[in-house]
Amino acid sequence: MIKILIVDDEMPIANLIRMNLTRQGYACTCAFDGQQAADLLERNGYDLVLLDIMLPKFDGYDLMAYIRPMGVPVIFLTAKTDVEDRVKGLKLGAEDYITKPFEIVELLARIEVVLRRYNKGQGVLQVDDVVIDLDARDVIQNGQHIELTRKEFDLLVLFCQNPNTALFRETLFERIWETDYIGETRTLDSHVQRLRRKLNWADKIKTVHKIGYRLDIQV
Amino acid sequence: MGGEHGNALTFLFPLSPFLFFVYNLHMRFSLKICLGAVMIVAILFAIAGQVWVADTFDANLDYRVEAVLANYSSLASALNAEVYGLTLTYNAVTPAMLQEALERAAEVQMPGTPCALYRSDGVLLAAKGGSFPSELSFPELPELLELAVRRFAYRLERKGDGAQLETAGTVSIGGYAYFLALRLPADDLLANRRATVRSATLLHISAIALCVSWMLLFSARVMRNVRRVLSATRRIRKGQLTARAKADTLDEIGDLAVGFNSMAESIEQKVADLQANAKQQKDFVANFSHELKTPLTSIIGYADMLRSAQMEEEDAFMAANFIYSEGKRLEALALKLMDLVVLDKSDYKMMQGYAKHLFGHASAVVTPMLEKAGLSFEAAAEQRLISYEKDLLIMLITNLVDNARKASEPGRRVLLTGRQIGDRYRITVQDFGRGIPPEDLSRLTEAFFMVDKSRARAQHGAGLGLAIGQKIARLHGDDLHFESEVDVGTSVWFTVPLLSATAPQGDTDEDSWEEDEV
Repeated sequence: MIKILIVDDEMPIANLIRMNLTRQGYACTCAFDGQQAADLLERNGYDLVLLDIMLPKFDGYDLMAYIRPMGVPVIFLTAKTDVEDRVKGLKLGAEDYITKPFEIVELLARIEVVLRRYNKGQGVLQVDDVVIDLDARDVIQNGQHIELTRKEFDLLVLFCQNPNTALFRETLFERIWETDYIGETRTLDSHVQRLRRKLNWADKIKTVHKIGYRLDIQV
Repeated sequence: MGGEHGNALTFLFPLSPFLFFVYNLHMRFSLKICLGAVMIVAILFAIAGQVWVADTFDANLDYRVEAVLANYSSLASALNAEVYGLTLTYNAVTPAMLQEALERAAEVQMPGTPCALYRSDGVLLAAKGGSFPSELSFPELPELLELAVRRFAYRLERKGDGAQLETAGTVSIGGYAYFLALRLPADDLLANRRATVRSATLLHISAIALCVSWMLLFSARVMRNVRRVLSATRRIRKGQLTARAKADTLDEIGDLAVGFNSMAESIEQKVADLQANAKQQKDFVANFSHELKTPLTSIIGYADMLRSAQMEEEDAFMAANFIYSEGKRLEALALKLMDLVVLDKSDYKMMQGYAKHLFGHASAVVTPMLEKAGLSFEAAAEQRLISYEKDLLIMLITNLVDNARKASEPGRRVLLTGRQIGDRYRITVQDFGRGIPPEDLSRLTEAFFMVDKSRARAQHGAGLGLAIGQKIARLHGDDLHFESEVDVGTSVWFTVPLLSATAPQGDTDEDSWEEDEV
């Protein structure tokens, strides 16, 4: 199981991240200040650290310098939006820099990318009868190779990473097309239609009225 | 007279307008001062030299003429005697006799000096030595004949390098008027004059050289301070605001440097203030955005969870609860921020009132809060008439007492005291709680600064209370002052204007200080 350390002095935020990551099958621990985080890192090995910058005792930059020799990937998670802060964070060796407020879906995707870079991620996603090879961008259903376009593939991965979760149209748009949702739905709808047809998942990818779509999987 | 020498020096006269031209030239000021001084010295010495040379020459000439005059009269009487002797021997005086008389008289009186005798109409009669013109041509001759002003005339006749002094005077020989002309060597006069010119020129040149060297030194010294100011301006222009000019003279240039330094001082101060101000604003915006984004992150995140996924009832309740409490936090932030902004914009009307009245109001607000926390509260005020804005001051006192509550363990005391200090009235809130670390004391009134962030969070603090308090204290003409020791306690005080230094008449509390439960 992938172990993630969440360092944030804001208990509600730490808890929010913990709840969501736990649902994704990660093992999470929360630390509320720099000292506590350092102690935990000393005692336990982690696969990833989510690190706030403004922390009591020592701040995120200090902690980053402490973590770096350990080779544990770090994602900064902070309300500081200055370019200087971002550059400083990345220069110190952080893998990514996410600014608050963030979307949970985005956080999950970024975590996935970083873990895969460290060969710790789920290189292969298995959902129901479908096996997705994220590195080879290959989809196999019941031993059959399924041909998908790039957007269809991304869409499928997003559904499989967030099963049983209603994905809002704007979220899907922002993640897949990387543009703001402007009310145009036909592109998204047609992609979902083709995905349903190719995988024969018409009953699994459900339309949630006035919201978006949800992948229903029996656990 | 002195024409030769004049040519050598008077060339400097046309330089005088050049003085003003020099002033406008593009060159170093020290060089200008030097050039100007040198010109003045050159001109003055040229004039002085001319006068000196001319005076010396004239004096020498006069002396020579005096000497000639003595010779002249003795020659004249000798000649008269000769002619008289001849007239005794011969009846008539012939030119040959005159010639002989002249030669004899001259031989006795002034051997070797050429002389000649002219008739009163200027025609040559006799001559000895030298070639005399046949016609005597002094312009003063008629005057001499009348024996009115002068007894003889003279002029300097130049011949190559040498010169001769030619003189002519009237003599009376046998009752007739004649002119007697003498020719004397005057080479030494010219030689003397040349020597004087040489001395004057030497003096002139040394004066100029002395002036140049001295002025160069002097002006360099004068200009050193100016150059220091100049170099300081250059450094400041390049952004080195700490640059200063050194000034060691007590004159306008020293004043200039002192003035320049004080100007640089105030500019440096202004820039530092502006930078501090800009940094403060930047920090404020950064902190504010942090304070805004943090609760927003939770609210958006939990709301997104609630709308997207099926959640356990317990989790759903927790999520809703976080949304509520973080929403409350945003609300508190918004309200505090409003206070902060409003305090900047409004002009408040100060009212006058008695201190005990104010303390009574404040106590009513804070007592329940302190009792609930298990703290005892003591208020004591000297009765004075003070000027304050009631709502703001109660807000400030409440805030300070609330801070004292948060820092104190149950069972401790919180003190609120008021007393006259000079022409101000000091209000102090004191607790015996955990105190404030010394390094944080100066930052307490910064917006969003929190000594213990996690504790402040737990108590819904936004870190704005003392920033607002500071503004209220400033509206009353003072800052908040903090004295604190860790684990001993903290006391915060500020002053408000005092309107009347004595307790009101008829008030029983006339003592200057007394404990009074209000």
